Amino acid sequence: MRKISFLLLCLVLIASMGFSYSVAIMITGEIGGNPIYEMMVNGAKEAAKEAGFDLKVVEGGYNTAKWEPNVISLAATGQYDLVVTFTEGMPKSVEKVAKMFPNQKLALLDGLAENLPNIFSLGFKDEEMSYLAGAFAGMVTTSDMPGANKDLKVGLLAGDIYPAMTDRMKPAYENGAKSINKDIELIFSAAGSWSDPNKGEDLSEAQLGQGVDIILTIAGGTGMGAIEAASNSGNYIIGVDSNYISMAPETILACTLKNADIAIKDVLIRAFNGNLPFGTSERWGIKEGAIGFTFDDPNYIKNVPEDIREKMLGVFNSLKDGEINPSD
Amino acid sequence: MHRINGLIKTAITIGIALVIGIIAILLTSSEPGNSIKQFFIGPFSNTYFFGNMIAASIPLMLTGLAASLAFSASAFNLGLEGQLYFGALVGTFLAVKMSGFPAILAIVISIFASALAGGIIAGISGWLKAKWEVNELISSLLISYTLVYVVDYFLEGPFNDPEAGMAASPYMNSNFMLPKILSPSDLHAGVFIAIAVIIFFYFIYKKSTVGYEMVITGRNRKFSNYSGIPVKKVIILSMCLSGSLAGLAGIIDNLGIYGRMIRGYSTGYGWNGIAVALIARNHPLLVIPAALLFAFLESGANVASLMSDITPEVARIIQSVIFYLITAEGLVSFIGKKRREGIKT
Amino acid sequence: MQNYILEMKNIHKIYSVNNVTALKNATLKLEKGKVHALVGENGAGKTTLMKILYGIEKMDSGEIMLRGKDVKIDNAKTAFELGIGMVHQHFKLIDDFNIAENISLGIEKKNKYGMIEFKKIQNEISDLSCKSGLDLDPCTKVGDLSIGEKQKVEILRTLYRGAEIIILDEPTSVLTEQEIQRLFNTIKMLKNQGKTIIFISHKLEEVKKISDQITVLRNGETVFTGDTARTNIEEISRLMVGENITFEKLKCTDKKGENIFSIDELYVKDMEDQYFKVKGISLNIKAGEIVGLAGVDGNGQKELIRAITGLSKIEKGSVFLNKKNISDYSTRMRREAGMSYIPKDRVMEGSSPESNILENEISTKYFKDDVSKNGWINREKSLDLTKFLIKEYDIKTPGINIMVGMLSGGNIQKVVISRELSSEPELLIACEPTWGLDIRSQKFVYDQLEKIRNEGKSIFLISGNLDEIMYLSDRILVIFDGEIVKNFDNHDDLTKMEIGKYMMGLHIEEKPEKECDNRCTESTD
Repeated sequence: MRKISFLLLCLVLIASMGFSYSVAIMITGEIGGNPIYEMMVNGAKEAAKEAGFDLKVVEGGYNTAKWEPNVISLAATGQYDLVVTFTEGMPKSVEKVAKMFPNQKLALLDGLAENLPNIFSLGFKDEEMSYLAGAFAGMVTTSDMPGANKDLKVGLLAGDIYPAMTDRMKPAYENGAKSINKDIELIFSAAGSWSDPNKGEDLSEAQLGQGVDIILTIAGGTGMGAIEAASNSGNYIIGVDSNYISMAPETILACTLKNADIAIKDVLIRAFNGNLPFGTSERWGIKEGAIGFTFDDPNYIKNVPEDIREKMLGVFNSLKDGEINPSD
Repeated sequence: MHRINGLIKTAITIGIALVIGIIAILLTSSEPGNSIKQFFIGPFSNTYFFGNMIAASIPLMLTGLAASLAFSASAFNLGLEGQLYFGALVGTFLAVKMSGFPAILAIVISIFASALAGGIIAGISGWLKAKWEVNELISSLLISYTLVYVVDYFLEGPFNDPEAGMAASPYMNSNFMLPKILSPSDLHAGVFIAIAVIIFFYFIYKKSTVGYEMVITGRNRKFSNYSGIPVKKVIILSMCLSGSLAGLAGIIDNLGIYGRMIRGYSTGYGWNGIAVALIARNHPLLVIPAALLFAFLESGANVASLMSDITPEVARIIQSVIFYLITAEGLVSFIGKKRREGIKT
Repeated sequence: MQNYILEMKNIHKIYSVNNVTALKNATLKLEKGKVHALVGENGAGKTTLMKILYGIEKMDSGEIMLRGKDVKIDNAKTAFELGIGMVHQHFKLIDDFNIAENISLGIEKKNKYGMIEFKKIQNEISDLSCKSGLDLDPCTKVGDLSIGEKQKVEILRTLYRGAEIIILDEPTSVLTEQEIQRLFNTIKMLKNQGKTIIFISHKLEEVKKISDQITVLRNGETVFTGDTARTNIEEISRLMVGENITFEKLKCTDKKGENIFSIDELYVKDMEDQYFKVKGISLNIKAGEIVGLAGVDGNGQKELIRAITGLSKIEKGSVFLNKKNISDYSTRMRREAGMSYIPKDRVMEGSSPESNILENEISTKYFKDDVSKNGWINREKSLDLTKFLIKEYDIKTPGINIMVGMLSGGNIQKVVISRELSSEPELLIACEPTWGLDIRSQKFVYDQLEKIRNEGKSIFLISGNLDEIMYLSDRILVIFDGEIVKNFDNHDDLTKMEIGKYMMGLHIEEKPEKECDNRCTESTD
């Protein structure tokens, strides 16, 4: 009996070593405190459970210089069928690893890499997200909501200046706002840091002082300061990536959502089934279900007037159907 | 006799530290056997990890030498971190701007510029000490902290590569990269530069009049003054040399591994270098094994977090335990030595 | 069997660090109420024996019996609980605390609230100070005391802790002639109160004067114990070294040449750069002349020497060597110009104890062609030089690579002297050149000084030991409060008391003994 169970165990081991599909994820940063990465890891875990493959999650930590060596190390072990990593900071590294290890399959999410035969990359249509936020900001600033003023000014607080911000998100946000009233002016500031709430508060206070009444924060931890500032002055904030309205329901009116879990789950299951198109890249937006808006949030429903909510739904559907080009 | 005693003490400390490390793994890992194996054997399990380990030791050899050089002259250079970072910025900047230059020329200029920049920064502290009796320990530390922010500003702003998507400089011409060894690992020809520099300084230390001045000044500054040794010159010079070595330690990673400068890539190199010098008891040649030990811990933690279920936090805890124990031991024997000197009449 | 208060029998001690046998068969027997002198050369084991008694060192074998009972003394705390107190050569006092605070430090009496009862302590101490005759105001800050008074504080501390046996480790080495007299009075008073005193010294005249019994140690062994009255100095001296050594006053030579060294109206500030410690000193020294500088410690000697040797800044005035104004020269340039210097602190200033003999010998000439070339030290040349000096100056060492700190005091001094004289200086500045040395080493130093004087070199001798100054000098200058107050020709009829008067300040008259009332007066703080 013992022998048999031992043999069985061996078989299972051999089977799991030889046949099972295995995926490694290199987080560019740390999971704790980062909602997007939490979503990503949850999505990946769900995929692993449903499809039945091995999943290894490695946190890269905050020393950005160590991220690329970590990806190289994962590839160098030769143990993983697919190595996944994230963000716009990584395309160069992923391309480098792909060239070093031509047999290693790599996937980059939330960033677009060169279409090398062993890379699949998936970006999000950040411009749709910003356009939604811009339209909402425009509606609020022109409304007679208690925290809105007469000035036609909306704010954007960015963690840093980088290509995706200047080329796509900022213009789309402006376009969204101007679609409501083309006299609306955008006040933009970049903090130069993703983890400096004090600076976020200072910059937001400056914006609010100039007549801004609603600020979109794409600034990580720096955005916490903006919430503080807006809450003190009785104005509004739009959040990004995940729903954290409950943190300050009176201040954070809405959040645009990046459903990263849906994206990663889809990518991993396609990879497991062998039909992920390596050598190509995809961009996902509202239509693909990767970008959403907090329409269902009870605080949103309570605090935002019905006409604005109605109009937002319209904008959302137009973007989904491709009737609006957010970059125009 | 004393040195052998010291070595045994260090060996015991390392042993205790490793046992604590093993206990930490046993407490947190669901597969402790594998985790321990990965932590300790991992760096030797294949040429890739092995190469990475040696590569990680290169900057530590140089910062270790930098620290031991200053310490042996009793000049307490605690600003290695900033000297290194600033030196690397200057060298990387030139390397990026010299894109059309012949590779050898660009590499040499870049290395010398880094060493010069680091040397000047440390030299300021030495000069302040010699001229105004400003404690070099504090001035070098404060200048270093400030410089880190200054360099970060350049990497985020004027010297940022907008394509990078992170705080990093543009890439230099890839021809300027030092030749690779054990590819695809990080190991590069910089290891030979580091060892050559260490051997060179060993001879300076043992055989030259400058080395003699530093050693004697380090052991007894009063005696040096009394003998007519130009103590102020010696202090400024040893701070300069120490800072230059730090600058070299900074640029070597960028020329050897990254091909550009990434914000924060060198965090800890300076402090670990000080620990390396303490373990090596300021002996230039012993800096090599001491740096390898630190690199081994670093790589072990890294491999264990990749290949087993240890999270990087646990790996970091183990590393810190080992770091603190070894540093404490080094410090205690260092201070003990100074105190014994004080008592003798 | 006689009634001894303390017996130390067959004490053995080997230092594991350098495998040196410090004590073998050392024996010491004390009678109650007697002053017992412990004499011996440097390195004879006096200090080690006392450290064992005081619990600072452990013995390898032997026994200690106190009042006929075996005792084990593991640490200083046990020692003072047993009634053994020690006054160290270097005082362990805190300058910023007053006398009472210093004495009670570590054994403060506390009331039931845990507060220190300063008033009570002060009263106890002032009572004790009156009773013992140690006449001290417990509220005086220790920093304001003279060296002799600080020593009294140390003695009072041992009494306060209940000492019956008091060890005085070379107590006279730091005192002036007058202060020594006062110390002896104190010792006699303590003796009358039934205390037992161990008096460590190598100044045999003093031993003869103050002690009742003598124990002589040589090479870690007790070679003699007996009543002082029945011995004479020559005999003890012979027992200490195994041979007879006597000093005779150097004869003044007539072949003095011209001025080699002179100082003109020199002003120097203290180390903190606050006030003047040297106030307009002028002097000159001729070739072939030894000029002695006598003075109580702290009257500007240190500052004067540091300014002459280039170690501190000259505020005003000039220094000339061989007619060259060297006031702006660095220490190295002054040495190059023909100056050598034997410093007072031979271990921390005159040598690098962690370095070997070679490294110590070349410290003033490593950059010169005879030891190095193009910035690289020539190992062979420097080795030859070191070997030569070891032989020439009879430096006793197990090897050339021995750390200087491992050598005995006398041999360290030989290293210093050999280095300083090997540069063939025109002027030698010698600060306390025999301080703490045994007779044999002392003789060696005197011979060397005599030799170079006879070669026509100038010597500036600074010493707190008046005997030494009087033995060696052609002329004696007295420094007081930063000024040269007297210039004596060293006649045979010059007495120590006369020099001592100037050292203490001629214009200051002896204070009348004040009445003993040391109750704290608040105004003193």
